[in-house]
Amino acid sequence: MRSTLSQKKAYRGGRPQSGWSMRVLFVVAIMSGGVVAADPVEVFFLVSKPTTDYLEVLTTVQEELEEEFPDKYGYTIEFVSEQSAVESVASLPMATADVFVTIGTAAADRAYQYKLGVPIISVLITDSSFTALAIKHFGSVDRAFARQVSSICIDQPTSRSIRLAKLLLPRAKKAGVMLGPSSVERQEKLAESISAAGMAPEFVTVGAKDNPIAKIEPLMRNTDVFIPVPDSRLINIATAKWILQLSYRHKVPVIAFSRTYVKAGALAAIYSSPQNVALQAAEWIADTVMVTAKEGQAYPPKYYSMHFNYSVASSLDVAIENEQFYLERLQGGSK
Amino acid sequence: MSTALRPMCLILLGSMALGTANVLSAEQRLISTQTVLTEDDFLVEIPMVQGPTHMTQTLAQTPASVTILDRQTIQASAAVGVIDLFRLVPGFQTYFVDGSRMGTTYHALGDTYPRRLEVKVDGRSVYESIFSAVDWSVIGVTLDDIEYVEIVRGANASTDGSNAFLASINIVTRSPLADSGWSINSQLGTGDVRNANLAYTGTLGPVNHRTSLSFRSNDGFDNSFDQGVPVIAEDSSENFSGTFRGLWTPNASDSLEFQAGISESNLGIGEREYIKRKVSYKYQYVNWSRLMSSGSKLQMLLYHNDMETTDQIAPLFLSEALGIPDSSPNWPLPGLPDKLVVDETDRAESERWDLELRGILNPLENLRAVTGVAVRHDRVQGQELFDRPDSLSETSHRAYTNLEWTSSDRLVLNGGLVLEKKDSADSYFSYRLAGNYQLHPEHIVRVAFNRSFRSPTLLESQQQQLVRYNEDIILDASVISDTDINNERLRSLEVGYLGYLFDRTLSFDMRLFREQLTDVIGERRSGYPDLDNFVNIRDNTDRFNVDGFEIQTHYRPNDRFLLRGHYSYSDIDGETLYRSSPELEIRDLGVHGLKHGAGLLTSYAFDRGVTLSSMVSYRSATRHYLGTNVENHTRIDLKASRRWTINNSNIDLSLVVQNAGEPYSEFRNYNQFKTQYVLGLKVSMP
Repeated sequence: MRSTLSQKKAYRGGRPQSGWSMRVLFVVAIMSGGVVAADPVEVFFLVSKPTTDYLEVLTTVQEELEEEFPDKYGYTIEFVSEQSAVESVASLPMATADVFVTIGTAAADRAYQYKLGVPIISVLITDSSFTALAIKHFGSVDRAFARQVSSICIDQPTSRSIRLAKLLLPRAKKAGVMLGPSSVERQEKLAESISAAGMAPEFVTVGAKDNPIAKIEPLMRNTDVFIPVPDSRLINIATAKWILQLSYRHKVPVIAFSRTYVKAGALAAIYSSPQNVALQAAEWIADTVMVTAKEGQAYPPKYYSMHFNYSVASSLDVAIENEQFYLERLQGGSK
Repeated sequence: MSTALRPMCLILLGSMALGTANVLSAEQRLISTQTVLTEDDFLVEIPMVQGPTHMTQTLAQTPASVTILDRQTIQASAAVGVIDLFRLVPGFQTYFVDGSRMGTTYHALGDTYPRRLEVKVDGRSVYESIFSAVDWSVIGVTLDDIEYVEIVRGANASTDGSNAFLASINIVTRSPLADSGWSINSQLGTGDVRNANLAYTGTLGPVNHRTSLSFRSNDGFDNSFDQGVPVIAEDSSENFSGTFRGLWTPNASDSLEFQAGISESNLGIGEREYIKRKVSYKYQYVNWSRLMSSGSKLQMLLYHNDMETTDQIAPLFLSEALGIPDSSPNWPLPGLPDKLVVDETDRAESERWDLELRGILNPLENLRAVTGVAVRHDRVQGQELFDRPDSLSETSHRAYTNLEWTSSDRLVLNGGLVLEKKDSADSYFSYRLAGNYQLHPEHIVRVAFNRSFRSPTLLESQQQQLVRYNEDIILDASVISDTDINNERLRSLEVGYLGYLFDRTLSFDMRLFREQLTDVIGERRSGYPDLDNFVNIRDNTDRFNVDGFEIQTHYRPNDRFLLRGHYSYSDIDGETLYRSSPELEIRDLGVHGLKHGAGLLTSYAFDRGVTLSSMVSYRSATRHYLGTNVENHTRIDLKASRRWTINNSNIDLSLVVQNAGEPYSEFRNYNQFKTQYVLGLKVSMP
């Protein structure tokens, strides 16, 4: 597991990257093998759509489980985009599932309608989508937890980006942060994180009716590093082009939230890759079968990926060490 | 609008309306409140570069081979002018017709006015009807202005219209946001090279703008000999241009970009004998873009180009032309006196309006589309070219759609279709089908088929180049367009491979192709009842196949080292109807092909801002269409530059040596390109 992780450049936040939890689970599984081996665990995957990111999560979860527990699990896969209207759950193959995995928001929305009596883990879903769906189908998040519904959200804590920004740019004194309508409520927490990292926070909020350049430019001119916080697709796309061009103009590095952002011209990003999501999901599945009637939980992302744009670093005169260097310091900082 | 076009346009407009409405993804529909994010918001592509279909595509998804010359490559190259960049592109022939006129063509028939290539600057076509070509000396774009150049190698008519017959070039200029403050760039060189560029990037109220002034001049080729006869090369050129690019973003969804430019040029052009041409060129351009919450985009492009040329010609009396006085018994017009038959000046004008509405849509999860409708109005005027004092004009309509369907994780299918209709001709379709199959995430093969048509320009369809004594007597007919001239036709098939190695620091792009061109417009010689009993008739005279392959590689292991190489092989097999009367004469076109072409750009950035580059270009022997035989040659260009940074200001000093070796011939054997030294100094003050 560890070597697989290392190859995929997936990093784990919070704890040392030892893969110990899977190994412990593996030992537990062997010790109790007489029980579980005789009764294969049926994992039912409901996937929003058969596109790259979703399929990558799906296949990686299976690969990880097979690698650690060969033939222990049976898999059934369905796509929401290929399902007809909601049928009676009793007639569906998911009725016999031991564990239910939803990949994507649409899949979670469909699965929650069934009110299944088995543990459900929803992945490739944002924290806010999970909350909204929990309220929609169960009345509250706590009630969803009581029905053994869990989630692993893909929103990486922006504090990680802030710490990476400081590691990449130790002399940075001011951090500019762009918020949108969906993320503006996080301003206070972000300010604390930025201050904790030894920088002064400067914020700008860009709404759909704002002139994005007029809003972003003054902030970009007066900061040492710029961090756009993920917001709605419209805000993300509409501002990215201007942010990156202004970043070039003012020689201010951008620490972003996706690989494509880095490819387009940001200096670096911390994000949840499909492999990161899948790995945590596989661990959850392995963990869940050991425990009966486990209550649901909203898990923050345990793993993360980092990506750097060395051309941008060169043009901005930023010296970048290798990824391991930042990984060790990010993990150290979270202890 | 014709009845043939109307249903097509309605369908396209309907699909655009559907696709660009605030259609939400399945994920977004589930959540009614705007403060809830979905995975789509995190996984969204950040669109920065539009590919050959106007969609944001990776090279692995494009339906054609694409060469991108980015800013790093441009800065590393030893290019002095924009035209020099195309020496870095496989399959391209780049040359100087004379000291003032540059030409570049892809694969075939690079003549004095190469015309089967669409060239756009920020989406605005700079291909002019009056010459059926691009006049590179007047378009007002300098290397400093360019962000990147995208070259689609292969027909791209389904996206860029009929003139993207063999390839298309889109030059994307620097955004007003990318720089700030003043930038001054000057170059001095042998051959009387005097170039200067002054640019300011700043704001005017809510508008961000980049405004530039540039001046370029050189004295062209040196005097030479052509078969023992001296050639006095009066082909110097000078150009002054001013451009403005403004950007206004009133809100997050909308952006409005507007450009205007003006350029004045004095060019010495000709073949052995030269004339002075004054060219005035101006343009205006507006690009409005609206981004939808679904990620779809609606765009409207409107532009206007206007070019006016004035040729200074030595006035000519008929007696001088014939070498006999009107009193001579051999005088061909008995009873009619001598008179001035060629005026001192010849004026021509070309004007274009183009309006395009485009939607970039995601109608289904695995289906992306670009669809649009456009109308273009061209007007030309020129007594000498068209033998009439008034203007000629034509209006053309086009409707197009390009679809990209991700059929599976490994297979991407592209289909493109354009319907074009000129008011004086039947409508016609061009289309492209392509499939990209991913053998491995780093290895992709592509198969593409193109069927394209190129309609004759106003010059090609209406040219009447006559010298008259009066309205009834034609003294000399030099070029006349056939009244029944047809569209040029192309069928092409290509197999491509794109591969990445060493963590994508090394890339390979290979293209194996067959292009079959028929009804290609050329000139046939024919009898004519004038004084020399001879005329060139512009007609569908040529047909030929081009078979070959191209390899392009790019290696950038780190930020210091850059290597770009290419090789192309092409074999032309075809013929031209050289003479139709009095006796038929067919000639071989194969001699005009460029069999082998290669190039290698190497650049290394040392410490202290020092960069050294070399550009090696090889061209096999060829005979230029309407030019002469030229020997094979290898040209070596070198560049050394150093940057100093003082208080956020950059000072760049550079020395470029073009053709560090023996002189070689450009287009005509008496155009001898000698070693040229150009010293450059650029100061950027934010």
